Amino acid sequence: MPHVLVVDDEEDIRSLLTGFFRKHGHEVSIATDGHSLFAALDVQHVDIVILDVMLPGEDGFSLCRRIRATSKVPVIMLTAVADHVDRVVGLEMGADDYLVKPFDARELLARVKAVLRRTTQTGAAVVGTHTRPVLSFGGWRLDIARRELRSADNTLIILSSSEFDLLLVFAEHAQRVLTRDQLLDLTRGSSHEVYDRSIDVQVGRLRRKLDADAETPSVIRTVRGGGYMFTPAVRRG
Amino acid sequence: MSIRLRPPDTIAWRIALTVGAAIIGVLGLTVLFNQLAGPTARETALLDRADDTVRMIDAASAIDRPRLARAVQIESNRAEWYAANSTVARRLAVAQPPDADSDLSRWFLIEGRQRPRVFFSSDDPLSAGIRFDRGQHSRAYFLAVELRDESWVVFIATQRDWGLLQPRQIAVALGCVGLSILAASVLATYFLSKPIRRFADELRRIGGDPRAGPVRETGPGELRAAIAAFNALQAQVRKFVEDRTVMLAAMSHDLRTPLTKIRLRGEFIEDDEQRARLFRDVDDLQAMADSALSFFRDDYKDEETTVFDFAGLLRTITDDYGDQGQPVSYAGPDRLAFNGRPFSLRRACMNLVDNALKYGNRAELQLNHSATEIVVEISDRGAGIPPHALEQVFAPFFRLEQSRNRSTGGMGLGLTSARAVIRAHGGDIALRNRECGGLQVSVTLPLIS
Repeated sequence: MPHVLVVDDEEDIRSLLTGFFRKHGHEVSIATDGHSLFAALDVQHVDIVILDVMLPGEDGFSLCRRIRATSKVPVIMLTAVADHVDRVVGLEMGADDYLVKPFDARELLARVKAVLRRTTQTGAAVVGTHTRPVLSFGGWRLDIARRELRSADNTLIILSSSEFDLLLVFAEHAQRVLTRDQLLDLTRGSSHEVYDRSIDVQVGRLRRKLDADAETPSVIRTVRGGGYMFTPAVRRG
Repeated sequence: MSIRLRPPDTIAWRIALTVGAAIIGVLGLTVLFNQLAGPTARETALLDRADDTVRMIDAASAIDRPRLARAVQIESNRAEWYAANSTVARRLAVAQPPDADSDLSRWFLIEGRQRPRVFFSSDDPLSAGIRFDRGQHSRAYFLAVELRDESWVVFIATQRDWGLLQPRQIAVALGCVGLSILAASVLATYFLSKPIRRFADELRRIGGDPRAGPVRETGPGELRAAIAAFNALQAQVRKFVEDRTVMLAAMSHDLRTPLTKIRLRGEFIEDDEQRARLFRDVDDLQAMADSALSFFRDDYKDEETTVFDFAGLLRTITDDYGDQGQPVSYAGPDRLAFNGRPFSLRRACMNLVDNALKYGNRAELQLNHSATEIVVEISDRGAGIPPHALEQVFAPFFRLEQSRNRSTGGMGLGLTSARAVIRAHGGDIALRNRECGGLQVSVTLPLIS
């Protein structure tokens, strides 16, 4: 059972998030400021920290940096400012993800799952210094924290939220055949809209954006017998 | 403390200087002209006296004539008499008469008949036998008049006292004065208006942007004062806008916390339908707060520019709306790199698509490009916009009559902020009612490599 530490100065939000995460099978601790945050981290094992930016005293950015200095527990930041600068600052401080208020609780749950999945997979590799997670394949660069895909000539390719999630799943399971059910399962929750859409449509859209020149074989190959395989080798960093 | 010897740089001083310069210029030209053309009055007097001399010599006996002629000394002009059978007289007798338009018919009449006369200069071979000091005067002018006994009186002028005829002289004088005044006024207005024009250009450059820096204070004193006053006003406006923006940002920020709570509480609503509706309401509220905030704060200025795939952006928008069951289509290239602010442009395009769906039932996106620009056309199938409102719809909070009764009216900031974003990219947006019905929105963006 993953242990979530919610850090927010709003009593209501703390209790609502606690209720929500407990309902979805998570263990929850709470903290109201930097002091209680580090106190909580000292006494128990925490799998993920949900950290509000606007806190009395030391703000969330600063706390995030201090957490990073001592621990590699993943952090998702919550902010009331829908600002690109804020987002970038948060990610530079070492946050793993970033959500703007008012957020959808399910979206937060999905992000928590995604971050936990990612960090448990790569946890061994990332010790000590925190590097921003970037996956590279065939000239493409997938910046997980910024949720950005860039081509070899550094052109930003706009992806919808579900396209990004699907591509991330593919990149994390490169050169392995994934069935539609597996893909649905892996992307489920990471975007609640995926339920309604067939994986095939999403794959079609991704292919259109990734396969600029029809000469080369597709990055995502259809495997006979119902499934897809992400063909290029994926490198971290 | 040093004493300022330089006169103050004011418009008044500049005008005084230019007027002074113009007057001096006109005077100078007049003097120069008079030097060249010679005064008419003096010419008349000279001719009158030459006329007298001719009559006198004509009336005198041949013996007295050379002496009489030599006695004549009109200013720098001298006279010589040449007998009828002399070489000079013979040459003069066959010489060409003076120009027909030399208006000398008033002079040299003896017994009512005009005497033949010849004008020539020292260049002319006619001057060969005439006595005058060639060493001292390299150039001389001659007027020869034939007497009744076919002898000739020659007047020798060592400087040119006669010139143009009176009407022509006046015309040239007026022309010179007119030209010099014209030149002076053109120069004066150019130098006077140059700083004012620069000021106007600066104002145009900063446009309606209260966040632009102050205008540099240059030019004459009065203009510097005007620029200073403008800068002060601009600073005030900026302060005002900033205060309001801070207030709005605070409101929008404070709104997020209760909205977050509503969303979280919504998770505990068992009825899926009601929960979905609640979330939609929260989204609407948030969208309104965001649009107001982004309008007042011009968020797009904070976003970094990057090269991104514009075709992919439009495709993503099309797919997203399509997934929500909205009739949005895309036609155009598969990929088109563009340097700009992707989030801001995405929001701008979504505003336009929202409008098309709201008022025109569907949105057809078309992307075209040339070497220098890209054009995005968003067409709908609605009633269009009455021609008189085509510009009004860009005004903030403006809404067409028909939208009042709709629950999905929005705040009337969609087009305003879309245009702000597009113009910030150096592009523009145009609305056009299609002949086949519906509205076509054309967004033009320059391609900068």
